[in-house]
Amino acid sequence: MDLLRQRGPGGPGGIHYLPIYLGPTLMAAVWWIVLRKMVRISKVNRITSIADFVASRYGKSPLLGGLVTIIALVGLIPYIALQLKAVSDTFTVMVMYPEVTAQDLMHSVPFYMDTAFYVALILALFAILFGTRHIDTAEHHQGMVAAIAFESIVKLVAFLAAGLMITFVIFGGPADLFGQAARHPDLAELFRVGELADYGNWVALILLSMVVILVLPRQFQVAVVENVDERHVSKAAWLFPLYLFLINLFVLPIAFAGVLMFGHGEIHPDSFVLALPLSQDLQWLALMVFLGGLSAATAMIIVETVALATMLCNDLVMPVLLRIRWLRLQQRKDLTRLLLHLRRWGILVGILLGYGYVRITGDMVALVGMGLVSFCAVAQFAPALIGGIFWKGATQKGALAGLAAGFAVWLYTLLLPAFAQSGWLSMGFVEQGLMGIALLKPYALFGLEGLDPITHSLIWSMLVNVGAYVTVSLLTRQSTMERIQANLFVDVFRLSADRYGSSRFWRGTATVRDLLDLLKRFVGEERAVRAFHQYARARGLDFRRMREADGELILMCERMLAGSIGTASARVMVSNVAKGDVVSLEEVMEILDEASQVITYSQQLEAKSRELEAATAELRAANAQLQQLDRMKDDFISTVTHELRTPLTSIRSFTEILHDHPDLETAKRQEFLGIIISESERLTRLINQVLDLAKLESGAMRWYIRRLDLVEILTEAATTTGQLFRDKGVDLALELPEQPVWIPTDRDRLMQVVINLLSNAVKFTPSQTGRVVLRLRPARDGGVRVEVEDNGPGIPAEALPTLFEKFRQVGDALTDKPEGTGLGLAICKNIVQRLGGRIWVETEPDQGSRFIFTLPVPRFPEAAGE
Amino acid sequence: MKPPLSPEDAQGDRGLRMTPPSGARERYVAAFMLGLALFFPPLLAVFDVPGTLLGIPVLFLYLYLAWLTVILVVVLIVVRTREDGTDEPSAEQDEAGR
Repeated sequence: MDLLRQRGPGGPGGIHYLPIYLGPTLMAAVWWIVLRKMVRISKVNRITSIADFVASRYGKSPLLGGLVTIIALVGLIPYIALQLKAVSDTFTVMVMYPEVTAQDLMHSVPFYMDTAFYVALILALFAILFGTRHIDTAEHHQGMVAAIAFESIVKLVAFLAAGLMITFVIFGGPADLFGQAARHPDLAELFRVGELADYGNWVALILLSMVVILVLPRQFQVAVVENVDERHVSKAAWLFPLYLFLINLFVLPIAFAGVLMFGHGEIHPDSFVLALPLSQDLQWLALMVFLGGLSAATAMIIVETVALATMLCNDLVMPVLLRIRWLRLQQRKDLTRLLLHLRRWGILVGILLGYGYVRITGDMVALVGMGLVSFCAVAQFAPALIGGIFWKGATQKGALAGLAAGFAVWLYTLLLPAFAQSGWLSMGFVEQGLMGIALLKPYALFGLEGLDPITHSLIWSMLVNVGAYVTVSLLTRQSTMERIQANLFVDVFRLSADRYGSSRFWRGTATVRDLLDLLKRFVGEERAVRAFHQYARARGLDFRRMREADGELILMCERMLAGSIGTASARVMVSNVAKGDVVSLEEVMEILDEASQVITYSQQLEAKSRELEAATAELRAANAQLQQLDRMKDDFISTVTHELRTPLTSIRSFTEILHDHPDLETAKRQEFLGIIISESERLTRLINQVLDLAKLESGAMRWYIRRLDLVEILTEAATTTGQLFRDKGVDLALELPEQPVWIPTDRDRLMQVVINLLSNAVKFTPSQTGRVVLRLRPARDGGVRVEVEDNGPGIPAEALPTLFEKFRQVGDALTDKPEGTGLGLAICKNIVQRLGGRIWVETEPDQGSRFIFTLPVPRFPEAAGE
Repeated sequence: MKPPLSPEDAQGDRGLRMTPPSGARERYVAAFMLGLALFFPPLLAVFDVPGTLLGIPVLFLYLYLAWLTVILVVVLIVVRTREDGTDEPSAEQDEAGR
């Protein structure tokens, strides 16, 4: 940061160098919560890079891994360029002091004369030596970490010494130094945070550096991958901020001292820490500062490029290569060499791209701004990362959406404008907005003006990133693998208390030999054999006797492979090796589904058989009923035959008598003839009724429904039966309304019913005292109600249920001579029901009986009186 | 809740045995909040004034002192957490998650 400017391309100067270190301090305070979880997850799942981490969490998605790698690459080239330039500048200053001019620090010379180029090559060499000796990057590079630690301490001591020296020896202490600075016109303003917008920048920088300390690939490498003991996390939580604190203690004093001593312009401010001791002939101090600074910077570059190269190899190149069939990579004997070569080329390419960027942008000032631009790019990983370890519901599509959207915004608001400012693109879209739309100005999207570019970009990209991430996650569903991985990650502490956090069930058979061959290809023979031996020993097995690999062994192999080629590729390889079917979790779920389907099917079978039983029972009941009806029919026929025969017999007998005795006396002859007549009548009646009933029941009866006046019908029926009543001396009363009552009905049938009821009534009432009432009233449901009431002996209760059935007659058939056929009421019931009504009787012994039937009256829209 | 593991049950990797009691998380978050409060505008603006104290500009002094304070708070938490018998291998409580 060029803190000596009030405002520069990286934002405000002055005190604003500080937030970049305050952010990590804050994040370090919660490292125990966040970082430790990341460490545990990475250990359990053998994760070796941030791309791997993100890809693994969201269902082992190669697409996501590739995207993260690309973003990291694009985003970090400027940062690498920046560090590269810092190193080469330091070198240049050290070598050429005091004749260092600004010219020397530009890169206008051809590249083979450019210090920075050789610096880049040397750094690449170091990185290759350090980072690509083994292939299993899950191994810890404890040597490299120790070296970094050592250099850091050297740097710290050197900077503190320089700071103390400058403040207390060159000047008279902080009061003196700051006092002099306050009097300097340029420096007085730098003690303040600044305007409100600068507060925005302050906050943005703190937040940015907070997440960057988690997601920067080299941070991930050192803090997560290289971690050997989780307890170190808690120690680092205060040690790391303390280091930052001490290193930055004298930044401001040194800067002010430099200006006070050298003025502006001659010596570049970033070199003050070297130039000041040199100016006082404190070469040893300068040398210490130089060595400390240089080695720390080179360590940073090395770790950064190694991390990037690992991601490039594992998450971008290898997945693509493995999928290209004609390369037949999966049949190659030894892939370690390929992987090593890929890594090394990755390192070289990364550093050279950085160098290229240095040449193109040239000016340190521009590059300094790019450092923060890079941070903004990698900060896009933060939502997916942090969300991924705490929120199970985050889906792969959500992460993809968030990353892509955030990256796109970053491109538009920071990278492309930077290119425009370096002259690669026209500045048109920067000044007027894309296609002239002012709301799309990359530095003032949607009118959000007044912020520096970093803050502006951070706000919009995070908004879009988090928004897309959350929204799409809520709207999409997870695959089975995603769900498993989500659980593995979020619940890692709970799960890693067990032995395995396995996500797969292996049904397949793989021979030990196959697995060993596979492993040998990627991690080397010696280590593969050693791992197998260990495995066997731990279980008390003989390694040489093992034939088939069990699930645990397969898992172990997969884990080891993951350390070399990433989890996604490892899975591909192992699944190809295991013979038979490898059961992924999806398949297990399918099997479970099948099982549940079978269960459902059997349940359905049971239900069907129950239904079958019920149907059978119904059939049996119906059968029984039919048999009963059959019996009843037989009964009916026999009864009818009997009923027919009886009068016929009488008629024949009496006719024979008359025939055989021609000189029978007249009185006797008249009597017998009367009997013959009445029996004939009876016979006729019976036959008629049987025919009626047969017609009614078979539906062959013809019905002539017309609108008729019920009152008139009842009156007519009364008249027809009037003689019967007079003969017996029974009184018949009519209670009928005055107005006509129109209903649709069949005249003859209705007459039949009423006449029948009246005849019955007359039969069963005593003479002289008997009284029958014929009554018409409206029914409750809107129809009509006809009642035939008599004051006869009533009907005994036991006869009631079967009253309306065929051949049922009140009175014992033996003792009481039947006066009717027994079919009358059955016919009435049939007719009434056909007409849509009901018929029943209300009676008490010795209280008389009342036969009632109702008929429905459909509503006519016209008035009743028509 | 799983019963506590015995040390023999835990994996060989020694780092995995350590789990703090749940109180530590709250304390760390509290330290974080303290840092937020000290470094962010409301309080920041209070100290964003010209002038010097002991010859050192006020803002500068405040920021560095606040920074040191936060670091020391974290140190305290770490030390206190270790004293609270964190070496008992108890399973961590369930993380929040959907």
